[in-house]
Amino acid sequence: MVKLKKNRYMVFRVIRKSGRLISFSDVLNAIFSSFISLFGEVGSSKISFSLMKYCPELGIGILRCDHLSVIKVRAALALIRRIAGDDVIFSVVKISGTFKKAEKILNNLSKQLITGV
Amino acid sequence: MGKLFVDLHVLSDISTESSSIPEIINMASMLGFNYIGLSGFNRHNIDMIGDLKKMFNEYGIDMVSRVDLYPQSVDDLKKDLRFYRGKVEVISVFCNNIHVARFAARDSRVDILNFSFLSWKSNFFDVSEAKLAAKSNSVLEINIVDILKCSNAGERIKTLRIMSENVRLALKYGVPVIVSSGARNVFEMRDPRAMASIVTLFGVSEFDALQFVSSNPLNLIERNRKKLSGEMVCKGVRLLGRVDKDGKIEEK
Repeated sequence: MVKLKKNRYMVFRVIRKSGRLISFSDVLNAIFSSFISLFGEVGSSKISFSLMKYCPELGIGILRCDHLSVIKVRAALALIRRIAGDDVIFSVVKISGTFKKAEKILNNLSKQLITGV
Repeated sequence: MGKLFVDLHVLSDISTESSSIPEIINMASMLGFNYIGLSGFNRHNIDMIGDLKKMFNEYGIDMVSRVDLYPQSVDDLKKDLRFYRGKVEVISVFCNNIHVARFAARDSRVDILNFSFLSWKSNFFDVSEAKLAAKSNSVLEINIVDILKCSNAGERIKTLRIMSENVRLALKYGVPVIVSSGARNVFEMRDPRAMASIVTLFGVSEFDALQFVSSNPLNLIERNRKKLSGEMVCKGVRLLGRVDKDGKIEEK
């Protein structure tokens, strides 16, 4: 049977100005408030979305949404300016169709950020 | 080869209190830009273009020199155009009044048209403007920072409404649209696909939106570089080579 909605896993990076740690809940709240200000409560409820993984030390994580709302999620993430008083850029590094692949990309990214290569 | 992405409007600390050049280079390479349009050149620092280009090239980014003009009258605009046209690759005009807007749209020396998105009264991009701009190959620019800087929901709704109407008109009358960050601070820059996704909110397809950050600005840069190199004699005429004294053709 053909799936009507397919999951997409976004590997993202939060580029922070001060380098201060941003918690999981701060990131989640920022994403939700951006959704609400852009699409309203009804529009946001139609976007299936969840923050699956987030590493506060490196500011990287994975979030899941369906393939139809990838652009909306990306737009909402792009319009986030501040989290917990710190200027940030939400940058989507890669979008994958499986969580396994997304985790692999996340691991490579974390290695890159730790070693600085 | 993948898409080449362009952010044609980034302000630096060469003239205003903005981010420094190394910060811009670092952020541009992090976000995946191949071309950066550096704005803020004026009569005093225009000779820095060569050095800055070298600096950007070291990091694999192509710098495009750009001047933003804020003329109050047509005469001011004419004076500035006469001075800057042969010196910088891209000239952008912020249309503060209807006379400047009409003249800028008609004059082929102007590359980019910028309008205020704060209110309908100060936005002069209408049907006549779009037709003039299409004829003279001018480009409409949308700066993402105008959306980011909105202080409240009402302001953002208004800005998005005016922007989407401008983009609709531009597409209807064949005016190319480019999307830039317009960043004064590196934290106002966004990655190219994020900028494209913001434009899809205006009802533009994903394919068109990606063109706004890649092929449309690239075409503008290529065209202007050809003009500045002297390869383009006039509209529709390109110099392929010269004939020397012996009658031989020297190809360029």
